[in-house]
Amino acid sequence: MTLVRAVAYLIFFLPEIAFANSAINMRQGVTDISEDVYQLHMTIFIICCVIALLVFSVMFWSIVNHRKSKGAKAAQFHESTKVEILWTAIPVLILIAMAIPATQTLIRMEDPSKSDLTIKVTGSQWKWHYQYLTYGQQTLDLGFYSIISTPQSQITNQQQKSETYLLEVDKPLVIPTGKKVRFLFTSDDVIHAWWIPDFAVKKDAVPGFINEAWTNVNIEGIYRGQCAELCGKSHAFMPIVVDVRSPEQFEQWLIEQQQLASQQAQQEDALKDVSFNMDELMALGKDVYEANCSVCHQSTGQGLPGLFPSLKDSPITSGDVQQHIDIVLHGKPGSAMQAFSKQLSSKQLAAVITYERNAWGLNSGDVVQPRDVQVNEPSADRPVKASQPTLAIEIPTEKKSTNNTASQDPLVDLDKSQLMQLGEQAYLENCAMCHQASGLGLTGAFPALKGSAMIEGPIEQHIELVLNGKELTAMMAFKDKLSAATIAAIITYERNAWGRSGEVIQASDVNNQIKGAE
Amino acid sequence: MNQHRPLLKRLVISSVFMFAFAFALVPLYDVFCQVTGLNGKPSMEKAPISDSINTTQQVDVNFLTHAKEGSPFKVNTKNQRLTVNIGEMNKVSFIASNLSNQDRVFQAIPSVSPGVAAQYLHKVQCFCFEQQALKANENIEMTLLFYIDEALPIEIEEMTLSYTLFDITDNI
Amino acid sequence: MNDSKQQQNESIEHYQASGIKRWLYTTNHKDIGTLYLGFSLLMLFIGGGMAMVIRAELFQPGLQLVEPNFFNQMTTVHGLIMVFGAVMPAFVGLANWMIPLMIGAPDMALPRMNNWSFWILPFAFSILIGSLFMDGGGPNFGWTFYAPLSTTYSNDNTALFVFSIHIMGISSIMGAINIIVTIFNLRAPGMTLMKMPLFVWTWLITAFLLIAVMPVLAGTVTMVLTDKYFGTSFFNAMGGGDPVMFQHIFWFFGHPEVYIMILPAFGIISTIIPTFSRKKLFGYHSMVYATVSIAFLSFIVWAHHMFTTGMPLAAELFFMYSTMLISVPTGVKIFNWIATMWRGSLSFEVPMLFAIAFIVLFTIGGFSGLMLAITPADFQYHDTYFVVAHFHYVLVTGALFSIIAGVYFWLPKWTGHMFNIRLAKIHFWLSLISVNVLFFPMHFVGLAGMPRRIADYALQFADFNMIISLGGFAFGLSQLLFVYCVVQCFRGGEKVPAKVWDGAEGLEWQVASPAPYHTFATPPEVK
Repeated sequence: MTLVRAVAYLIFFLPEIAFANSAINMRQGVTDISEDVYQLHMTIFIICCVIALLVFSVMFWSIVNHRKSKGAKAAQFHESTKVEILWTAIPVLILIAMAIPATQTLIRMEDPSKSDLTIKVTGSQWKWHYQYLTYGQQTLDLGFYSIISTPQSQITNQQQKSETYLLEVDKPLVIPTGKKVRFLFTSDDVIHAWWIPDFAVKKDAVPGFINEAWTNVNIEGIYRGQCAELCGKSHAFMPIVVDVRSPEQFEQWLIEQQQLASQQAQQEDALKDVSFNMDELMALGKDVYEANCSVCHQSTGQGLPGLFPSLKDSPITSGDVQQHIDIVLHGKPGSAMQAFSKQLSSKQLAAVITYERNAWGLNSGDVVQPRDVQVNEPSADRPVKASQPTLAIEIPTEKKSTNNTASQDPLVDLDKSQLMQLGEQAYLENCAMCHQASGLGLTGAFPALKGSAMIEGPIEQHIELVLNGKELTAMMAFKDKLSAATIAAIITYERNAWGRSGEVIQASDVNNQIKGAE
Repeated sequence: MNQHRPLLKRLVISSVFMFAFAFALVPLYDVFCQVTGLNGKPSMEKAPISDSINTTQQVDVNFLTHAKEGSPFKVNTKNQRLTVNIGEMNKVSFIASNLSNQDRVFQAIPSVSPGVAAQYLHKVQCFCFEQQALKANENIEMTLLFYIDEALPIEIEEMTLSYTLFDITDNI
Repeated sequence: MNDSKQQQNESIEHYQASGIKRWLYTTNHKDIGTLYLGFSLLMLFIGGGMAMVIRAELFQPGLQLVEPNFFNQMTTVHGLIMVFGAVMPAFVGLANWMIPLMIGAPDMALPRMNNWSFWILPFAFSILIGSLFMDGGGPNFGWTFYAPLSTTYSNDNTALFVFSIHIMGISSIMGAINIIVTIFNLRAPGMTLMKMPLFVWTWLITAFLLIAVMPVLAGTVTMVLTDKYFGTSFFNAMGGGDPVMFQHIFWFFGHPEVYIMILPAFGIISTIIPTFSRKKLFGYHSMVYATVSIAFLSFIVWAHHMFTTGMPLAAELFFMYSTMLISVPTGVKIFNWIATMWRGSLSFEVPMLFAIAFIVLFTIGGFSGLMLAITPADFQYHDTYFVVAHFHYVLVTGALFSIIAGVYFWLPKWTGHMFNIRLAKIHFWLSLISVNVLFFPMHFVGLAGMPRRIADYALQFADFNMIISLGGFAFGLSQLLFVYCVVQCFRGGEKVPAKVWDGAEGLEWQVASPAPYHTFATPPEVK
């Protein structure tokens, strides 16, 4: 019986040794450090096994052979200073033997030398944010959230679970191979821990503090991990995915991302003048709500009593719209209510707020448009305090003059070169965001002006479009935004730039058209 | 009972003492952090001006500001990274903006990484020493004047000074 | 025998109240010991029931039975109940019953305080468990209640959690004071410190640990309370505090707490092994010194729970070395037990079976503890199921097995009857097998990367989790057999003599079985 038990224990330990690379042992990982850690782990494990084997053999020998039932008589000894010193000293020596490689690995891990890429990692309930700070000598401005992409239906077992269930995100962190990447960790709310087993990196993200860790990955691939510190309700649902690429591909990716970011900014800007109808907003709003809000406030809008407030009968959803927008955009400090201003686009925000005000039988009829949401978004383009003259930020004068009507303008005709000069500047300020400086637009998002029917076609249509915009598109009306002179200059520029030579438009032409319309 | 009283008294006093000790751990922890560089807490005291420069040793100092998402504040600096000589006085300007339509007050909490470097970063002037009150939509320029102690271990080639901004308007 | 009969009669005269009042007003160490043990058994099943909820949810990937927030409440309250409600009161119960008998004292030194220290416990746990049923639910931030999850981001019932911890702390401190005073002042003539049974020794040291650290825990929860409700900033960076400081203060309590839960276990095992080896404990002195050094070391290792919070290299090295050092005195204990068995005359009664299982399984927990001490590797183990496996090996197959061993060992003395040996052996084998099915695979999923305290997990962990859950259900059910054995033994059974086990030594075996209500009214003489 007892021998069987001894064997049984061996069997328990064996799989660990035999299947060192399968899912029952620590991962060897893809960095030098993770390999070191794995070796360290195996060394200590095997030392422990050997000690266990020796010690328990003695015990089981005794259990088998020194039984009363076999007629064993108890010996009388009950101490031996020699033996006791021995079995105090030997473990100390074994420990020293373990401590040496452990110390070496630890020193290699805590290496404060310069890194090639620095990324700030911010944890918040329950997602990660990555901010690329520097790459070599280059300063980067790229940041995004990385949120679990496993659908709720898989979690609630209504749908077949995918292979990467709970370990997939909408946008992984991308880093290059063969470069020392420094992570700076911090948190917006509670403590989280960023862990990728394959890198042997696990570090806490502590609110108000920064922590750092670094890695240098040898092999390209996709590596997955999870938040490792209990951070509240959805602790199980904030995975980490790192996409490791070659430095060339990584640099390519960086460029793409920066372009994408500027496009997004333009699209956001364009949404300022688009109105959506109720049905459209409600449909989008429902999707956004299910994906972002229902985990806490529930699909029914009733929340969880005592934990997450009901939206259905809340003063927020039935009261002042502005307050509602404010709480969705900026969250509620000290609660699980997050700020969504940077996570969702203005269209999504408008949709979800509209949805919350009209779903569950509330039917307030309030329709919130993207522009309503954008007004509340902070803009940093304000001047630095006058007493501190070093860094005044200039505000384009045209933008301020929203109250100027065209009729008040001095209608002085300008010559073509003046108009072109003025027009180029005004175009870059007002139009190039979408249509680009090249006039080529952005495929799929904003039409090209160069070679377009509008520029080639009748002047009246061109003026009309610039004055009044085009409904249901991003093309806004500039009538109230720009002076007639500026509009004239822009149109002149558009018709004469990019290798074309065309008509000259004067402020009076624009004014005439405005008056004609009235 | 009487024979137990002296011992009982001592034990009760010990437990009360240990309760007080738990609170004494708070200042002790700060001292401990400063001595060992635990947790990268730099001093919040004004440091004396540096009197010597060592031009043979340089260190990269990165500046980072972190405001919680949705925070009404934003702090930027043009100098995200400076390579400084040891002992050299350096000035960094930060622009703080109040993005909200109300007057607000924030407190910047500094944190240094790697933690051991915290004790070698001396701030002669820092906006984190005081609460910063900003009027609605106001932008102000703030200054950090610092130098790196000569005792900085040579293996530290890069360090980060991070400021987390907390909106303390409601807590004053 | 005559003597004890007399004592028994005396006790009945002495004794007025009956029914519930007997238990409410009792100042008798045996009654209070029984109350403590009964209470901890109840808590074991409540905490165990929560573990069953956890294991049922984790039986398969996906969310099935409970929503994550409730899952977090289960893990939190399971931990709190098992630590403060099951293991600690069980040891205090054993101490109450056995320490006066072992040192020849008539009762505990401070009997009224003894009564209070027990009777505030049910209130503490009613508050804690009651909060689960309130709006917002109970504590959901883990039994370690790390700030700011337990302060700024916790629900409004946190105050209840804080008060229940306060009460538990006061109870523990009173219990500890009582034990120290009893041991120092009420030893029978001739019972010098170095003649005391090891169970008494380990409890004496444990009691000092309790007095040193329970007030620190009380301070910690007080800071959580003021941070949450009164605007202080101990753990809030906004006001100049530090969330990491919470962990330092908590683990300054928390690590000695671990030894509070295991030192008395060492004492029990050190009593049982010699009895069934029919041989004196090997290295009594070194056992005492080892216990003292473990207690001392437990104060300088706390930060090994928090390597990932970011620490200077020097601190990491210090805490790694000091933690590794603990394995030396612990190893000495294991070696001493084996040396006691060596060339003994062994028999394998139920307490001995549990004691042997303790030695083997606790050692496995010790080895995983040693692995966890290695800082670089700890970055991979930390907050995974490897840690869960480690502390369950130490606390379930360690502390709990020793308590069960102790109960089977002394139960005949308490009741005067022998328990049903066959059933108890079935209980042992079922527990032994199921506990390993339950906890051993946790090493594997932990190493493979499964974080702890998650309500749902990735698919590669599914197979092992199913096995773990099955083991959990089996282990849970096996304990019903334990209750049955104990209840049956109280109700009747084969009568036992004063010296129940033939190899047993010590004063407790000199009094009759069942032990009379009052014992050692006249102190025995110890040679």
